[in-house]
Amino acid sequence: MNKLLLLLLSVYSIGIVQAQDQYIERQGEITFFSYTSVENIEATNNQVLTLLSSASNEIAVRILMRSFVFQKSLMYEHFNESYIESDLYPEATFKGDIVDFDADLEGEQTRIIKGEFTLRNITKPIEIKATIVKTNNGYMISGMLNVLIKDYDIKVPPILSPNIAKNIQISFKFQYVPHENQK
Amino acid sequence: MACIIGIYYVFNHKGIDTRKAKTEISITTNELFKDFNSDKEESLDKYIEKAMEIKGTLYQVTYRGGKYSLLLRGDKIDKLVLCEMQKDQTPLIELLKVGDEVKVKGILKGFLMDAILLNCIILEEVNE
Repeated sequence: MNKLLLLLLSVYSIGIVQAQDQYIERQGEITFFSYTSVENIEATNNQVLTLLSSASNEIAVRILMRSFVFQKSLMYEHFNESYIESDLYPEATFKGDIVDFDADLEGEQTRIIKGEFTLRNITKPIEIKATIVKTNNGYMISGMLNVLIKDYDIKVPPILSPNIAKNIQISFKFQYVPHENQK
Repeated sequence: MACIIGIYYVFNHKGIDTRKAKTEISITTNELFKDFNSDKEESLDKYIEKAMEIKGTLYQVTYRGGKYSLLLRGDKIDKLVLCEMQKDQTPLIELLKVGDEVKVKGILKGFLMDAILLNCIILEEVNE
């Protein structure tokens, strides 16, 4: 899956320059929330790379796990060293299709994005309800999803189990611009 | 008492102070991307989570999530260096113009299409 996605991104990078229907966001925002009665944990990543094809309705996302910023450095260390093991799995990826996306529709549309989310080399099908807004020169896509930590074999030591939610909320906001503007 | 202070520090420490971090590598954007293109970024992986100084041409300044980022370029534009800046750098950032030569120091987090550095500070504006 990762190799497929990398290939996809490479192809985009090479072939995208002439295309009018390819959009890029280099600094997409993803925030995750873990709410428990013991502790609330929140982390944000403002360096998410994502590509959108308004012709094929495809979307590809790459997330560098070490780019999440936490309130406290100890949370960052636990996240990268114990839970995600970022040395082994430095990225999470998503590849999917926007169902019934109307690239020409002015204003806002709510759509389902169907695809596969890969974290720690574990790939699961996922559906995301997203809001898509056509902007002056591209699109803004935002939404929320929930991820169960057991689905991705994230092991939390028993002593810290009350501090980490079983169900992690994730929100995202991507502001795509035409790829050719990045030249 | 020292123990309590120590525990408090460990649990509430906000992270690396880039000014105090030892610089492990000082490089230009062109040198960085040359390594990208040869053995990809693997040769640079050893610098992840280490302090890096990088000099390049300012391509863009962005403001996302309450933080400024400087996007530095080399001779080519297909790959950039994304430097998310420390909040105290705002007065210095406001003096910069696209096209300026800038040297920044930050903590390397890894590579996607671009190199990504966080907690960056401006070391100098190197316009000659």
